[in-house]
Amino acid sequence: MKSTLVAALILSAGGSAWAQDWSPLDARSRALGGAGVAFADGRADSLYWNPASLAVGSEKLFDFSTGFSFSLSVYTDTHVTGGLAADVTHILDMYDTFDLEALQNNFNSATPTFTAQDVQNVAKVIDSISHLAEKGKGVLTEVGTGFNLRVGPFGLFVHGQANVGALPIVDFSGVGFSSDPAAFFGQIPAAGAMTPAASNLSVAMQGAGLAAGDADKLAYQAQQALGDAAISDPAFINAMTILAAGTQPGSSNTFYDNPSGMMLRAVAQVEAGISLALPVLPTLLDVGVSFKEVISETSFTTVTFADKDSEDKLSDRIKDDLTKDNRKRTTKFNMDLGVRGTPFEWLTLGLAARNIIPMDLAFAGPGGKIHMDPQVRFGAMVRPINLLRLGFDVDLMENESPVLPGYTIRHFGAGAEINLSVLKIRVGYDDNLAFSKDHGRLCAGLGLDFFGYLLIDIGVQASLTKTEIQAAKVDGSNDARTIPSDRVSAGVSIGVNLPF
Amino acid sequence: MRRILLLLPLLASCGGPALMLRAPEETEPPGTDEAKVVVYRDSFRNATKPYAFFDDEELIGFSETGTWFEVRCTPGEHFFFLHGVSSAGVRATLDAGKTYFLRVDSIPRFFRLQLRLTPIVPGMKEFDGIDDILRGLERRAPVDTVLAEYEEERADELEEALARLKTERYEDCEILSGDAGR
Repeated sequence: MKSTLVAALILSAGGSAWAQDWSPLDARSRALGGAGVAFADGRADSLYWNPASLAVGSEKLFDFSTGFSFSLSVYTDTHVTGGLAADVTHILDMYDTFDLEALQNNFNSATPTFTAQDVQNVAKVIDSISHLAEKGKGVLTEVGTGFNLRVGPFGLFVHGQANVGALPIVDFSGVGFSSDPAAFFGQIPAAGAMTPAASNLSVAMQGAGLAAGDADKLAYQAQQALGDAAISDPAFINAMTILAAGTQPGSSNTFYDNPSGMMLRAVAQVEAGISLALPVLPTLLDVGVSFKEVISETSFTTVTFADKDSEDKLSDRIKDDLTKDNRKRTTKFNMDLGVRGTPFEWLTLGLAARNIIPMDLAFAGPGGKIHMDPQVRFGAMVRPINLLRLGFDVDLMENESPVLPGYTIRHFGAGAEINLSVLKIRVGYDDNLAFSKDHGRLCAGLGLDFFGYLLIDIGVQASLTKTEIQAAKVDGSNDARTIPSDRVSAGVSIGVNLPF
Repeated sequence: MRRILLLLPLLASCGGPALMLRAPEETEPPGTDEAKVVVYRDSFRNATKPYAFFDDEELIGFSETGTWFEVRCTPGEHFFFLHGVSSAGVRATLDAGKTYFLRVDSIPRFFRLQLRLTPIVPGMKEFDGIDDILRGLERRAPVDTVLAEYEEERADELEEALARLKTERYEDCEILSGDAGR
């Protein structure tokens, strides 16, 4: 067992793995840039970051003089990665403005009446959808709550965290432009002068089975709609090639019904367990372990762009998929480990490993399971003067989000805490080193410590990067809507400390 | 917002229950018929735990991180005794009119912290810089009711610890000689 755990840690410390973001459960760490391992100092909620912190203050084995404390925390976090919201609203707007449903019927007709502009509009839709497939683009929302109890060196905890990822799907497989190709291509005006980019696109579509003249017509209209640069993009060429291959007589799967859209992947986890810390060399070196049962619920649903025209109530279907039809439960035993050292009075180092036993969670969606690997995080905290603490945390490995595949996470966070007895002022900075399109977040918070017995903390984080949540309307009736931050989170904690 | 700002100094001034009270930094030198012992703790290891300091069986005060306090004693032999998770003692011979210094800290041992009471004597770097050290710390003074309550609650434990130190570890206790003062 021991060698298995060591092997799991060594293997996990090397490279990329699958794991949820190790989010700050407590408001204090949220305000300190998520540097929870660095600042884990024996408060009840610090056992979430490093079980070894339960030995803080211990002067001997099983030292209960460190007292009794508990904390309750709640938080929420919303994150738009890669400008997805504006892309999706833009596509939906184009479906409406171009009346894509009616246009598809026209494309399928034996006596079509569509114009060259209509073909160009469809090219614009294809271009927009094809770019949704960028790695890590999506939306992540997370809510969580936690209860932590410390009795001397022992801890008892229940943590609940739910993550939902909205992942764009780009899928044109088996889908064509029209179910009556002869009439469809007959209606498209003859190609004009072809640019090299248009010729290149045409050749690619010919390779997928289109006649040269038909491919030229489509490529020419695409070039007129989007320009040379856009039609040279591999994602667009790939989409047009697949659609060309799917344009077969009698095919019932046409562009309007393409399965592209969004997949919602959800993982909700409740972990409950006990922790124990041992002061191997009191005040110098502590070790800790948490034993826990992790109950995981996974679910998913998919929504295509055409679903917006569906007469069925979409929200009901999403709700049924996520809460009933596509829901799977897995219960697994797992462990967290931690080490905490204070080589100098002004320096504290922490190393913590979370979920050290890899888990496979049952999943009704693609792949049939969601894999979760261990996470390892290092933290360091210095106290240059008595009133001030500075610290940082960094993930020692890169993790890929199970709810938003392609989105990689390697957390770095740093914070400063000014301790004015009752009042604690906290600021921090939080960033993701693994995903270049993520933006750093500024963090801030306050803590109130009433006579050392009652603790109340609040913490917020926000990136200072504007993000478009709704694209400008195609017909010009509305401008783009922008909000000042692409990631915001907030949390509040309340705790009680009672000395024995 | 203004109200909140006005409340901040008030909030910052509140704190937990005190074992020792803040005292003026100024202190008189010992008289001709007394010796003064200054007990200080500049180590921030395990900062939350105060340690009880005794002159033989008499509880004098609590040594807290970042603080010092003074004891005025009759000249002659004394046994100073520090008690917490473990115990430490100093066998002292004090001369009248002199001031002596004792440092409180601890050494991590396997699964247990060993408290340490170290005489700061001439020749040590700390002795030469003792005034600077004390300036960086807060002076504290004992609260009689707290002392009485502590002694009453732990009478048996203290008696046992002192007896063990005097019998089993007496030779290990540090020595503070009369000429180690200033």
